[in-house]
Amino acid sequence: MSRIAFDRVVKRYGPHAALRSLSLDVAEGEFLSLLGPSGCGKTTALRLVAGFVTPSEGTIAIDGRDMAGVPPQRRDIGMVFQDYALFPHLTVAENVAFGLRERRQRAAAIAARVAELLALVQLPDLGGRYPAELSGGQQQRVALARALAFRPKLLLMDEPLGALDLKLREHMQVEIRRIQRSLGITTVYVTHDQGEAMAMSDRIAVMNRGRLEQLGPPEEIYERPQSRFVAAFVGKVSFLPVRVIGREGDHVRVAWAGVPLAAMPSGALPPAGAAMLVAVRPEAFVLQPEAAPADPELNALAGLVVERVYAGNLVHATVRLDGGATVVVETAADDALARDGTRVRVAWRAAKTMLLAAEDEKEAP
Amino acid sequence: MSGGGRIGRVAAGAFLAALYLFLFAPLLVVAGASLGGGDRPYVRFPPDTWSLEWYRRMPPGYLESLQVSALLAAATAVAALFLAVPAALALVRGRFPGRRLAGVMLRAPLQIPYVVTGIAFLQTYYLVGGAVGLNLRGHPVGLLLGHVFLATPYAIGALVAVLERFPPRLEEAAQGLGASGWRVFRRVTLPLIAPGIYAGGLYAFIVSFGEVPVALFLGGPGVTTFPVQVFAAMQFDFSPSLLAISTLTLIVSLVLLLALQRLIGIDTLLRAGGGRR
Repeated sequence: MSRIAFDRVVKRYGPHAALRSLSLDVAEGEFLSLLGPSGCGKTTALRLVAGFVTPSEGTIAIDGRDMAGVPPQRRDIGMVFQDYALFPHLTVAENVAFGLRERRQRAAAIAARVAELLALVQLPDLGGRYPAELSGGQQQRVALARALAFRPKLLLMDEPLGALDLKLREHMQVEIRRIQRSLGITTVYVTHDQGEAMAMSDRIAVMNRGRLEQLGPPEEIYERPQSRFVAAFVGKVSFLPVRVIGREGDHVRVAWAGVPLAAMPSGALPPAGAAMLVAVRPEAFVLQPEAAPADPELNALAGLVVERVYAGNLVHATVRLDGGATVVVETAADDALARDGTRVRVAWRAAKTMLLAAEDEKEAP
Repeated sequence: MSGGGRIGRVAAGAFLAALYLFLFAPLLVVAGASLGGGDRPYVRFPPDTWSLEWYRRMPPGYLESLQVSALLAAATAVAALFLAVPAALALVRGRFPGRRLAGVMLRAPLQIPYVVTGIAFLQTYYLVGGAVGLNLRGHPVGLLLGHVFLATPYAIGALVAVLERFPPRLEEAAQGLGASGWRVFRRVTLPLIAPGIYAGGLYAFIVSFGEVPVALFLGGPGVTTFPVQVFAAMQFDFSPSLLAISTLTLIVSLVLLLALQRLIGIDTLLRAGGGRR
């Protein structure tokens, strides 16, 4: 049974539509990320669930109950804000106790629950401090403890790690996931960081310009993107504009600059002659010496290495293909071919060749 | 470098000393002269004799007017705050057409000379008196209305300044945790705007307590404020006891201010109203 159900939800601010007809179900115990660039509507979607804004059209149901007219304080939802929004005039313990006091629990029960939560977020001794006396990471944990203390039905998080540095962010990703799993609480997580979404989520909803682009587990989003936008937003990718030649076994034959390539179709087979895009991840490419014998199983294009970016354990080599386009190849740091000015052949498997519509669907006004 | 720094510090110290002397010299002269004693219609500083005589011979009218002023100023501060808190919330949070205009209008009393305000209120009271027989001139409520008019913009200014630094998500966070509108105000908004309430209340008190023109127009027998009393005494029957009561007022003001500072801790409150980090 789905905990949260968006049904054709539209949110307009004046003439601007922040959300255009979103339909989405979040399952019990699931960790779902709303991923997209700023302005894609992900935060609006979260605030609609929390009740801080109301839909212009459509309905949002929690546990099957339409939330129209239910104010935020009656929704029983824990929320973690990007800037934490801790109450500066209250101590850490008082912050965590806030939701419990609003529910008129007894002082002893509140104290026990606060201690339990501070232990859960691994800040057992900081109950007496004020938020201003904590580091960013500690404030983040307090915000999480406060959101969970009153045993909410749902947990919503709006870019909760945005203000932290990289190391702490990676650590907190693991922490948040551990806590979420141990409580089994249904969670909606808003982020613009695709790495974060992939590391934490059961499913990712990729959003763009107020629409849901694609919904699925992280592997599916990364390996089988359904649109140019998703392919480009999640991970690195090189695009080649191609024309369809026809079907060949379970592959599709396409041609780029006169060179035939084999690709995996992502949907219905497009007609011969159709303009499409081939998308390839950097790690799918291998560099070969230009003179080496060609493997007929692989797609292969000749080119010149024009740039090499060193990243410690690996390098990214930019190759200008003889047909004109450039592609980015990820290879080992000691790959002798990945040097500026080297003639190479770029090869990759048909199974790693994603075939996408050349243009994303035009925006409805 | 260090030599230049020392010269700089000495110069800065000398400048500060001169500034404080300039600001406080008149007060010191009044306080010193009040200890002279004897009968003479002029001020002498430093006094040639030392005595508390003028403190003992203080006319009772002074103390009465001081009491009137203190009560009036306190009532003005409370009333101004009751108007200023919702007004400031609307000005900072509200999303309604004409919000900027409303802000200008609410600050307008600051632009009007006190004398003009006094005359305007007096004329209005005459009109009201003529129409319904309710005479507000010389009535404490009439004076209170005038002072609330003068003082409210100051209280609004102090509260708007605090509210504009208020982290916007805090109220949503409280709501999400289960607090209804009134509970959000009581547990989050009010504690966080407290510095603005104290500062705004203090401004309102000071405006009311020190103001002459409006109190001159709107006061009357029984509602003579302290500054009006002093003003009249200076004009018509100077008595050295004026120096004594002025000094007393000065001391009481200072003690009150220090007590407030100690009690509330202006610094911690400013921090509480501050940001997230």
